[in-house]
Amino acid sequence: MDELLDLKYMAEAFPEILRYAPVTLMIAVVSMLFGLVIGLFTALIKIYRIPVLKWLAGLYVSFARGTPLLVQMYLSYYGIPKVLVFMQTHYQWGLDVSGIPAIVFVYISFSVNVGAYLSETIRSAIQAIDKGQLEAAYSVGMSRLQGMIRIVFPQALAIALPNFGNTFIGLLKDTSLAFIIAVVDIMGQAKIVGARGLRFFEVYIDSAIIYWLICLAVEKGVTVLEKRARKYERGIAS
Amino acid sequence: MIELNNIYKSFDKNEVLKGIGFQVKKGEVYVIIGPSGSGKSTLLRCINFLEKPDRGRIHIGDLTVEAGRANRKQVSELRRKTAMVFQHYNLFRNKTAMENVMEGLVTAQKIDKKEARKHSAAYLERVGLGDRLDYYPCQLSGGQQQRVGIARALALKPDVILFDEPTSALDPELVGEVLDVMKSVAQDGMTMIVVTHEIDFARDVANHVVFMDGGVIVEEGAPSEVLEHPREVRTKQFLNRVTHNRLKMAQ
Repeated sequence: MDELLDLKYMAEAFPEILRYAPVTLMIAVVSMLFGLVIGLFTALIKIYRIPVLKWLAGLYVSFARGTPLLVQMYLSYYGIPKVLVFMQTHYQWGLDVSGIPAIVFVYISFSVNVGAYLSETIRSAIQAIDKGQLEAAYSVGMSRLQGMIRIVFPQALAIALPNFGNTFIGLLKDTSLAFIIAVVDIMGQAKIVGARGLRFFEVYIDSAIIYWLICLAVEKGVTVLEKRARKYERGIAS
Repeated sequence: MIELNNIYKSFDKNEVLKGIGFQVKKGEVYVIIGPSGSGKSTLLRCINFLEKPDRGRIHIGDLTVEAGRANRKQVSELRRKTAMVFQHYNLFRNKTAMENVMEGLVTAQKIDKKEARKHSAAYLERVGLGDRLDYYPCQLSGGQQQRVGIARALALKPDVILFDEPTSALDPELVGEVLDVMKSVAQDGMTMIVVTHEIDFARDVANHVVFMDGGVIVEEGAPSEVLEHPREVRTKQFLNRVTHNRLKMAQ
């Protein structure tokens, strides 16, 4: 163990670690989807200034952005089961709290966290669409919901996409925290494989490469999506 | 027939409309002129409830809507009977010219897509844009966009089209093409309420001209009376200013 890098070890560990890339992607994709739903509702509450809820939405965004993700993960992992057990003993819920897989708490904390960031992106994107188009939708007899879904949201999506991409890439990298609460993802597997041969530098280089490749692919994907979503701003329709 | 009774509208403490009423007969072109801030756009927007009037009554055909007590169904009925052409066109930017015209037909009037497409193409043809069906708004000039706006309004087959300063945002050389389309729409017998600064258009096309100032109707009548021989001082001043500006621009 005297050389700086054991390239053979690194090469052999790579596919082993790569096998867990789907776990990382799963955490990121599921959290992103829930985050988008949470973000959309939070944004709409803020835009339409719904009494009481708008206050709660403000509190939520401020908290989720103002505390570390790691802390939120711990709060979710230790706090939610505690509350559930408490409810169980007091109200006799038929629920096996210890049977909930750890990854569920990762989904919850990550969705909540990313939802807060996305809500601001979504809010500004929706507000960037001039309200004249919505008035035109009313004037041709459409309802507010129809106008929102058919006219405003598609345009807001085109505006928000680059930001969604950035948030998603940030989220992908943040998922490396999940191994802390015993979820085996790229990072968790790297630790396991590294411990086996006491070769940590090698496996972390492996995981860095894997994260990087995934992010490159995501960036490419977002660019393609953006082009499609913005087709109405470019040349003659095909 | 369209009738407005005693329409009032305030924004905060600023009373913009102070009891406006008028009647427009079927097929009439009704032109509203007046200085900016006189409430004419607000009045127009009250007719299809883009602004909710505080008080007053609106009749269109067999529909009567009481301002304070309008429910959702009445408002949508009102919007079904009217269509609007906007100062800034307000085309749906994510839709082609064709899709802009089709949108209301398909989503609101539930007309079959194929039917709506045929219908829309015909109306775009009608405003001289038969060769621009698949263009997005950003690929069209202001005048072309406004003509799409007119086609979108026509296709709905409304009882009345409300024009809210349809040429005010256009480059001067593009105003003509839009006014020409409006003229031909008027000749086809469409009922139109037009807020505009185009005095020549009012003179040539209107059946009735209304001069509004400070939230009230100051003077109204046939274009030959109101525009050529105004009785009120405020009307005279306004017309002088408008003609003067135009002369200055012509130089």
